[in-house]
Amino acid sequence: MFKSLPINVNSRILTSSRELVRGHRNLVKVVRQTPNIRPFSGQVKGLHRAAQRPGNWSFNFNERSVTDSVDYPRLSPQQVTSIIQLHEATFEINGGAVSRVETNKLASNTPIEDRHAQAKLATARNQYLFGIYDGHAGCACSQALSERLFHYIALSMLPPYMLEQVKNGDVDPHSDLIHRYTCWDDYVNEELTDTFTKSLLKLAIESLAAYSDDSGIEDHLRSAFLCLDQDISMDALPGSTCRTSLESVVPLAFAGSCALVAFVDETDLYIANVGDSQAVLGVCTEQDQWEAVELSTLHSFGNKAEEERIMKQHPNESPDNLLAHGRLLGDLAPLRAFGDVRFKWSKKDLKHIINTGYSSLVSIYGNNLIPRHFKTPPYLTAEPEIIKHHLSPKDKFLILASDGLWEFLEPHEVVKLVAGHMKGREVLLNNFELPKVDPGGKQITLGSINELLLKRKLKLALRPQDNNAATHILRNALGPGHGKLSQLLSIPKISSRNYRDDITVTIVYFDTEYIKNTSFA
Amino acid sequence: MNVTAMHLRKVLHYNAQLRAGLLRLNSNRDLGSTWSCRHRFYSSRNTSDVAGETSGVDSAQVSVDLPLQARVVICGGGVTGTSVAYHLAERGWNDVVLLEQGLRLACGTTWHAAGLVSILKADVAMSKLVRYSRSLYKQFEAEGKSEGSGVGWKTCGSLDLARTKDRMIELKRKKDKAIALDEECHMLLPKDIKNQCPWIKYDDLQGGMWRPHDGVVSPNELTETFARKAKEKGVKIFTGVQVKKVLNEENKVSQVETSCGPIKCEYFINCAGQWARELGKKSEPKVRVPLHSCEHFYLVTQPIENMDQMLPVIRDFDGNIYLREWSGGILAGGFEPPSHGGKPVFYNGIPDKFEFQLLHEDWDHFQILLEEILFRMPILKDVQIRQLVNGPESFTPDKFCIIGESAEVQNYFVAAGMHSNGITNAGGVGKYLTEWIIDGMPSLDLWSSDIQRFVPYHNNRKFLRDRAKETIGFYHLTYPQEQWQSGRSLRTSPIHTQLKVAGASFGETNAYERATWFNPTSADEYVDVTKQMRGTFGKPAWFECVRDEYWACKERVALIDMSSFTKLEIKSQGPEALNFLQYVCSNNINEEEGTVIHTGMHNSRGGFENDCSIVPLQDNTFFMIAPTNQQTKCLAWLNKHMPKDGSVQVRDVTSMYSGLNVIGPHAEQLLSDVSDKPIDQVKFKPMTCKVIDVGYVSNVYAMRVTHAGEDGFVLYIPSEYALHVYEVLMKAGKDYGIRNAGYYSLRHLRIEKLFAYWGQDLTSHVTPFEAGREFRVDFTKNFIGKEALLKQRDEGISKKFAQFLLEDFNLENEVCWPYGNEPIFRNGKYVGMTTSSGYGFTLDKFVCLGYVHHMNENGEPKVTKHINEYIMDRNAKYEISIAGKKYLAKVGIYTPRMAYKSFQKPIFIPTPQKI
Repeated sequence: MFKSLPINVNSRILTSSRELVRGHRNLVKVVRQTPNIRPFSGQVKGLHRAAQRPGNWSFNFNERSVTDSVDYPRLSPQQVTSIIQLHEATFEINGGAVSRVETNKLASNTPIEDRHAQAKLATARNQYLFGIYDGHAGCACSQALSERLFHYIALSMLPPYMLEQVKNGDVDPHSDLIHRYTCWDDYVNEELTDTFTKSLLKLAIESLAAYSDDSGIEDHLRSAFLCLDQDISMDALPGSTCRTSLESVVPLAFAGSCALVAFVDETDLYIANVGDSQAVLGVCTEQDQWEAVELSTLHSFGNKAEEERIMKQHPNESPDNLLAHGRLLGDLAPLRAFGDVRFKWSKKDLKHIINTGYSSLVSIYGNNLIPRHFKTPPYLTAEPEIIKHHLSPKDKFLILASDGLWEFLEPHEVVKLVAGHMKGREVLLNNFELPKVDPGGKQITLGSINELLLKRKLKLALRPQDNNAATHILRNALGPGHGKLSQLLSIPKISSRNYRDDITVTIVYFDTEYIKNTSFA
Repeated sequence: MNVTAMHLRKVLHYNAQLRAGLLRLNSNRDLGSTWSCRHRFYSSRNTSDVAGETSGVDSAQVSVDLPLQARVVICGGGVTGTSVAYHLAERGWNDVVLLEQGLRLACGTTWHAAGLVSILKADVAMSKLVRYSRSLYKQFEAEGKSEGSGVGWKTCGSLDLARTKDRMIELKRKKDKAIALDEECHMLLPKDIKNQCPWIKYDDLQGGMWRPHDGVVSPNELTETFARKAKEKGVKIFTGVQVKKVLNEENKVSQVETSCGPIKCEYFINCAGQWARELGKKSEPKVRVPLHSCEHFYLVTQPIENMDQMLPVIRDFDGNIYLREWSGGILAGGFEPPSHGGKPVFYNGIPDKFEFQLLHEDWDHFQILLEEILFRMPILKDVQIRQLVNGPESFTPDKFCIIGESAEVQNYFVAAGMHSNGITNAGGVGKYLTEWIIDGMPSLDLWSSDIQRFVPYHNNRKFLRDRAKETIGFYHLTYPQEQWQSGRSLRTSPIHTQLKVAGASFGETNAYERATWFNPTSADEYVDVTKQMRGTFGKPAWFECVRDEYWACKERVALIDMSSFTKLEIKSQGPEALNFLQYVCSNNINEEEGTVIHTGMHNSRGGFENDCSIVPLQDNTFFMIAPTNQQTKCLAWLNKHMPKDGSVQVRDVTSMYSGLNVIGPHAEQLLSDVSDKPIDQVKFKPMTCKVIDVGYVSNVYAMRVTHAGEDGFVLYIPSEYALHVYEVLMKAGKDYGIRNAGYYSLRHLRIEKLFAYWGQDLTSHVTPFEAGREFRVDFTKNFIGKEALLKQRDEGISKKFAQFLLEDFNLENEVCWPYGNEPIFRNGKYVGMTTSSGYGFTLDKFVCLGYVHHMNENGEPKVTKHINEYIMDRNAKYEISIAGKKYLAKVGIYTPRMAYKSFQKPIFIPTPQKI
């Protein structure tokens, strides 16, 4: 559950929040059983970790434990709704296979470490990118990914003549490659813009040099991921060229992030995944029969292939050390990630960092900046696992969500929720307009009107409270009862992370008609 | 095609045009173009312009020369307002001004009415009112034929359908009521229904009822006819004039301020339909007209082949729908059942210029009705729609309309809240409201629709919205004593929670929750037993419980919460209050302090306006107890007749006192255990009132009266002490076998003893002689109604209150019990209706109370001094018809002595005797 758990935090706090929250009525009890969580010493601005001062809140809970916080909610229903709807956004796209995108996120960390991004490629028709970045050890890395990754991908897919234009400055790689769909809370880290632009130009030049007609989309995606991770790492390395913004670059490289990117190219869907976010496709097999197809594998403990991969790469190390406590070197939960140079650099470079005295880093990690049993780096990679899927008319939507959601809900439950929401939404949005003709093209009769209305009635019963399906999922993940929702949303900031992670959900709806026509054409 | 059909076609065509034109308007939001469009539309018609005063106007801004003075000002140019104007003029009152805020008559909600006219309503008086409407419309149509302008009347008949056995019982009870109206109606078997109307799906039906004389009318033509005839007689009609304020002097209407200047007047009539509630607020004090608008839907289909022009109006009550022929197609609508709920609208006020407008169609809401419509008339499935009409209608909190003089301002009359029966009611409402205005009271007992039946809380906006949602479903089958589910638990007595825990089932009267009966089995659970009960026309679920309570009242002691009764305090400096009460009451009030005086208050015809108990207290103060439903009415009646100099003060103290009835032979002993004063029969005589202590509570008014003919006391306790008194009595009464009893047991006790209650048995159309109450009239003094009563004393009466014991009524097997409103037959001839009924547990017979009318061959009342002999004639055989089944009944004008059997001291406690 914790991706980068500082060593001195008692690791026996809550092993699975899913279990915990499922038995929400035991919540207070659980807290009482763990009264002696040792306070975490490291307090760095912008790098908040859970349980900094647990003493305070456990006291509060004990005091209130006479009353059941589910039966006596602290938040009103209106407050709950305003909290979970705060970051929701809907984008009507209606181009190519994508009809609409709904997204939302809910913070547990302060500030939230999850990011999401969505964009259309400016250089081609009907190519879309949707990304979810679940950061850890702060939000610096996930923020950087949300700003850069799409550009890297776009750039790596450009044909040579376009790369030439980028190189000559005819095309601004920053603004001309993608069109973003932005939310009100999106922002750009201005400090690093220059570094970023330079990297892009460099990448364009390199790509031009190394261009090969053979590489497919998977290769482009892979190289974009790896290049970006490399740039993040290189910028921070001792002796890097961008000394100006070192104070920003180094913490960025030491932070980490998972990345889950969906690339829609006409009716082809590519999922590139690094880390433990998950993509699930909602497939309508028959009328009202839904299937959840997972389009990514989790890069975390429990994934046998991943475990084997790591052991193979470090054949002379003890598996117990490599994956102690289900974490990489006993420390990091995801087994692939961006950033996290602590697991990538050589011991020498890391020591250099310690010696040059990055006070911020030292104060977080103390003596553990170099992980224990650190022998043969790199241990970590940002190479994505890519799954290609050809969209069929039965594929109705794609859910991208960070692990915070999957702690609460199973993929099939989420698919069911979205499917139900789709049905309810149909009637939520439109008042019934009397059709002039029936499906057979005849003047409509009362009998057919009644049939239409009956169908609507079934859907009306499913009418959700939230217009946005991502919000609908959030509500159902944390609730759906008001008492439970209120409880999970009113946990003090410092301890919130013990009960739930940041949650980000993006739902991409596909245009069945378009897919049908394209497939048959 | 004969002339009628031609005419009909014309009317229908006009209606079609109207609707089509107006819909266009509805979608057109621009007011300017709306008006010109409407104007163009109207000028294309060649019917004469109704609103003569404003003819030729073609701009929205109307300037009119209103008269400075008129006797009557009517606000509202819909079918109701024009009907009132017409009827006033018919009676010679033609100094009448009718004001309509819209630019045309009937532009509010009249124009989109479905135009059904059926005379069988929930109560006989309303049915008689509609019977008049119907005959008037027929007369208009006949006259119109010669003049070339009818009202679109068509005698197509009514066909009521029953899907369930219970609905069949209801239809049969309706048929019984039809006897009182002398209305032709036939019960039909399912196969007869098929013959009557082959398009109806009939195989699931239990049966139906056919009434050949009902029909349909065109609302617009009817309004125009009323207006035209009123104008011919001198009524002035103005459109585009808004009423701004209704002023009064000395609480009597004096002037109406309008958008076009003031009009001095004596009477104001609020016929503003769904605007009536808002209009009511425009006077000081505000006149409360409790109604709320709801959306009402009907659909109109395209013409159907082989359509029967004379298709009866079909009402499938269990499907909550109605169907009629309309312009070659079908017009079908309905009233959403309570489970679905209506759609209240205009909660925050009606938009300006809501003229000839419809609301947005809501197919999702209409679907449940559409489903039933298609189910009942399957051929409609293949028919195309012309339009779904959604027009607002106003609905009241109890399904009855609102007519009569307001309690707040004298000479301020109201006729509104027609509950989507505006067209049906219009004629009758016009006639009887006119009588009300000119003669002081209508010739029918319209208490069920009287505006004074409401209390202030009824006018609460939220309440109205929630209740209207439920009352709109007026096709829904209502069982006897069924209670509303919405808008409850507003007024409760201080011991309400105790009663609820004890298993009370509550019934609401004037918003007051009264315990009707107790279910001891539910005593430990806090559950509402009424909800568990299935409605029935037969033996009710409470019967055994009420029997046990009855015997507790009769043999031991029981407590009945009487807090809902209206309580007034009347006082003055000197003897003015006494003089005033002597004038309004028929019994002698000038009695010793602490006497309980039962008295009636009468109108000039001698009818009971009120039936109450008055206790003279110290210092020219009088305490008055009146029935719960009299709260508004009796106050209004007293205010109306009070000396104008302010020497008498009347105060409503209903909420200040709670009432507890300690009833039964042990009551005396129990009360003396907890009180400070001797309570025996000698020191505390029946029909007296003492101020006593009960437990720790001082100053409790104890009256040795029970309103049920048993020994006992009603304690009137300042409300905050009521719970203490209740608990003291319950505790002290444990060894006396005390228990809670509800209103049903009180009713059974009083019905068995032939006690008449106001509102059920006593009405403003019944005099003391007719009710057997002449012994409470003191003819040695002067009082309102004395002349009429003296006349009756000299000449006799034509009807009399009597008790009927059903001879062969089997409690277990009968599918329908009597509940009042059953016809009484004397030697096979209809002589009256029952008013209330209950089981006499002591007599071991079903007891019905009702009036026997002495009538001549033509059914007209025959006044006689020997009515008792007429009723008690040995050869007279009485029968009461209950849901079509006749039961032999034994009549009496006094109750058998046996009913008082246990009215005696408990068994004397023997003391040891010397041997």
